Amino acid sequence: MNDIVSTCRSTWKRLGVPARAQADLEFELRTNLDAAASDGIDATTFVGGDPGGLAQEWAVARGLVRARWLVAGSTMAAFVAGFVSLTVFVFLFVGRSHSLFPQTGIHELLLFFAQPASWLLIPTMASLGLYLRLAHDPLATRTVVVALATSPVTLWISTIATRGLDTLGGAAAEPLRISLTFALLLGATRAAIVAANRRARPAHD
Amino acid sequence: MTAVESPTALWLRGLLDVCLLAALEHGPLYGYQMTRYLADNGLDVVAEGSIYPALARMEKAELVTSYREPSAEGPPRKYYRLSDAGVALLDRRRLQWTDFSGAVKRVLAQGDEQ
Repeated sequence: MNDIVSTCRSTWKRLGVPARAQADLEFELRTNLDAAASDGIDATTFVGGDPGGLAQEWAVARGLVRARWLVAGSTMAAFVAGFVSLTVFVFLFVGRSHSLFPQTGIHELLLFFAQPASWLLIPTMASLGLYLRLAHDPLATRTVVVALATSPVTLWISTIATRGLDTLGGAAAEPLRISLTFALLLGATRAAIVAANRRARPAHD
Repeated sequence: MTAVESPTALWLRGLLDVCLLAALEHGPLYGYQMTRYLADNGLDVVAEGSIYPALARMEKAELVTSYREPSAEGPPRKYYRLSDAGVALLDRRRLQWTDFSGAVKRVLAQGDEQ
């Protein structure tokens, strides 16, 4: 029975079913498998030999799959569009003149976006997101999506945090800034999502 | 080559929703009890698990509602019961089924006579 439940759970995770809904589906499946087992019906017979297919059909019937991916897709599209717009804005109107937003963190953020190294962030993270999607790790995929959505804030924080390094020497500052950016993006959001999922996990899990 | 499915299983797939509604007409049941009800009446040709997507669709359409209730044998169970909309739909489907099955019976009987 545990194999069946485990297959269903991993299918729901792969489909991005929210943790609370997963817990509800699993609760119902477990209680009914228990009842069937007490009548001598084994779990494979009960679910019909394709637990993954059943889990998917069940989640779709409840409307738990499509809406979630629409939200994730919309978030990703909105972020990419925002990033492209910001990059164009920086090149057309700001450049490196330091004339706009002087003495502010916003100015430094705009300059950060204007640097060629920072252009690698989006394709790198988009590739990582695609890889994780293909690897069927929805938790990690969500991490990347959230990281993309929150990256303007983390970029700004990392830019402010490392601006002192510029005075020590530009060659050393740039790799450190990029490293710190990635650490902030991936580490902080990953930790937050794992913590949120653990809180939402059912008591019997 | 694809496996040939039992015609009874195919027919039941199209009628599963209305059969589940009829099972709930006698009072709230949890999922496994519904499969037992169907099997006790000779409809054991689908995997029991296939009722859950059907129940989910019916709950989304507000034909049934669900609630959890403590069980004497173990953890609480999720029970389903008919809503007013479910009762009304069941009545309509009964009439439709009577017409449809009567038509099929007449057609098949004509084939016998030839």
